[in-house]
Amino acid sequence: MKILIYGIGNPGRQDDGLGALLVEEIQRASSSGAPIPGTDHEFSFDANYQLNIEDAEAISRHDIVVFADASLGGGADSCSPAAARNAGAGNARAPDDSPFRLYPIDPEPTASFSTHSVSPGGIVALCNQLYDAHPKAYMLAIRGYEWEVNEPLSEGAETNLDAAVRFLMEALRRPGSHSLLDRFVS
Amino acid sequence: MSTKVVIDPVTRVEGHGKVTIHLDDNGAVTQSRLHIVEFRGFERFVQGRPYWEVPVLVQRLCGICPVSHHLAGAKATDQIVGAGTGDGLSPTAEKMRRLMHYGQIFQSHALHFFHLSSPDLLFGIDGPIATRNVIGVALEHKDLAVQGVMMRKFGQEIIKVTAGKKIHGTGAIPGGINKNLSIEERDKFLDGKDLPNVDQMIDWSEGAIDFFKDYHKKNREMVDNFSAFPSNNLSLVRADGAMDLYHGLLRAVDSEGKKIFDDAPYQEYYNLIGEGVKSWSYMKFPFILSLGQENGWYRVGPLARLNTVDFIPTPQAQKRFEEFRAYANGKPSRICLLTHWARLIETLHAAEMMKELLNDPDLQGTELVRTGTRQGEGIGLIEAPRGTLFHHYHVDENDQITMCNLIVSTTNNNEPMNRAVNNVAVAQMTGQEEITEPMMNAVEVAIRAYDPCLSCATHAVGRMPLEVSLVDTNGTVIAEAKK
Repeated sequence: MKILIYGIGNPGRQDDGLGALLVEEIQRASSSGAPIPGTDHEFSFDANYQLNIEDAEAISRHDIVVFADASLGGGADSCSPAAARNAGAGNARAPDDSPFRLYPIDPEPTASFSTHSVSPGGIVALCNQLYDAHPKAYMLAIRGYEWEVNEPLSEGAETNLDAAVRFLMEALRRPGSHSLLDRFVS
Repeated sequence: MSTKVVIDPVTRVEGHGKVTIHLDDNGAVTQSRLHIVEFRGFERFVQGRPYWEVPVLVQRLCGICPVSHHLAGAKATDQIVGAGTGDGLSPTAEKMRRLMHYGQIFQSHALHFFHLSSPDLLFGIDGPIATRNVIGVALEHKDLAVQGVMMRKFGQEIIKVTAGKKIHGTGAIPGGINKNLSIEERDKFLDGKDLPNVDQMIDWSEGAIDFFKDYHKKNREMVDNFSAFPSNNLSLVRADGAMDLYHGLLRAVDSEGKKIFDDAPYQEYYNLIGEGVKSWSYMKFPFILSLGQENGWYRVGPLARLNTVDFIPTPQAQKRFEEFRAYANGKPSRICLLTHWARLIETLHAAEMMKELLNDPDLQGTELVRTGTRQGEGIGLIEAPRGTLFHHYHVDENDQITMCNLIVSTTNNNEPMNRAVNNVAVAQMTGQEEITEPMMNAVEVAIRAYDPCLSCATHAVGRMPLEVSLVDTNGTVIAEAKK
């Protein structure tokens, strides 16, 4: 099974970099052997500041895609800090104290794209339309707290990142089929 | 009772913008403003950091055009390490940077056309909002959408092999670069095995121009009258007057093509360009000092560049440039929507430049860095996809940055974007009893032509989508829409 783990965010903006850092951590942890020790899956890793249209082609070549992104509220509905920021501090959802949350990404066939970036659901929809490919897509939303133009993660985000890395490594080690991650979806 | 329309924020542009349109008691538009609601902070943030961090540090400004900031920052630090003012790098270093830059131009322009502009062109400004997006393009024009995806991917792959990685690339360093291009890396873009090759990129770029020209032919009256207004134009040009998006001298021309200044070294930009402020916006309003703030505002970006240069130094783009210039009777174009045509000609030029560079053996050279006498100041300019980008730094004897001034492309276009919004608002909303979604989209179309990146322009974390509201003279919002 081909699995892509894709980190989204800008590590130069503190916790916005959680997704990209998760990818780095997993790659580092597995550098001595197979990408994820204990599995026979074929893994790919990627990261970028934002998702964009060419990612539809990238995910079309995989069976499972795990997007990892920072979230203001544990990822209950806003998979990206950009989306969280869009909501504005006064409009943000009530904080969710979970360090991370995994949930499936459905295609957004009528998504109205508001910026140069494209939502994960938009990428999946584009992939379906352009390449007739239907990878199972998930979002691993990791809670962040600070979004300033600075580098180190906040203390809370560091803790959440560690937990998310451990979770994903363990989940991917377990035997399973295309529903590999479904049992963990909360 | 007079009314105010607020569009907040603008969709399919970056950052957070808010458009306010005031209507009088008779429903006539009296004033329109594009507000930027975030606060600048990056110029302060970099103070105290060592100058050699600049090329990487500045990439946190923006997730859309980090390569442009990377290269403008690197050019400024070239001057600090004594590697000259754009002419002191080794051939390998300069050409690697150029390849990175043309890859950035190519992917950014392709993204704008296929993702942000083509929905308006294919489905109409007043087309159904549910399908007026890139998914709609994919559903009804699959070949076009696939081309857009692959053009964008090609440019991104060029960036990856020249900058080293997608996030916080390190390719450009003070005085040069940190890697050359291997034969294996080069052949990926030439042999067509893993990616459609660079010749295919050139062909698709030609096809995109034909697509726009066909659209223009069928919609000439609308395109030519949509928010058209005269302006001054500013860009870098090569010493012989050619288009050069990586390096050159500053040239400004007025709406008739008369040179306001020419052959100006950009290290003296502050003697030519002022930065005005207005009480209602955090974004500055740059202007040509000799003309004053009222008359000295200017355009930058694809339309401005095609208005300032004498020729384009690649054959296919030059042919297209001649068609473009002929349409404007040899004068600077003032037609807002012809920015799309200009952008696609630049896309073709970037593809031709990438082909030329990929076949240049200097990219496999081994002299990567040059340095000279240390300087206390560095200024780097580049023609970013959206227009001229200024980076200016002072450093102290401890190598720490003591001053930073940035004028980003979108800031340069602040005044013309405001005028574009006003023109469309007057044309679309005067006398109307109801503000419809197509009317609001028309305002956005005018803004999108400039491809603004407001997050970067305000040096702050951006908030993105767009709202439109109507407010009466008492400040009461009587209509509001969000996307």
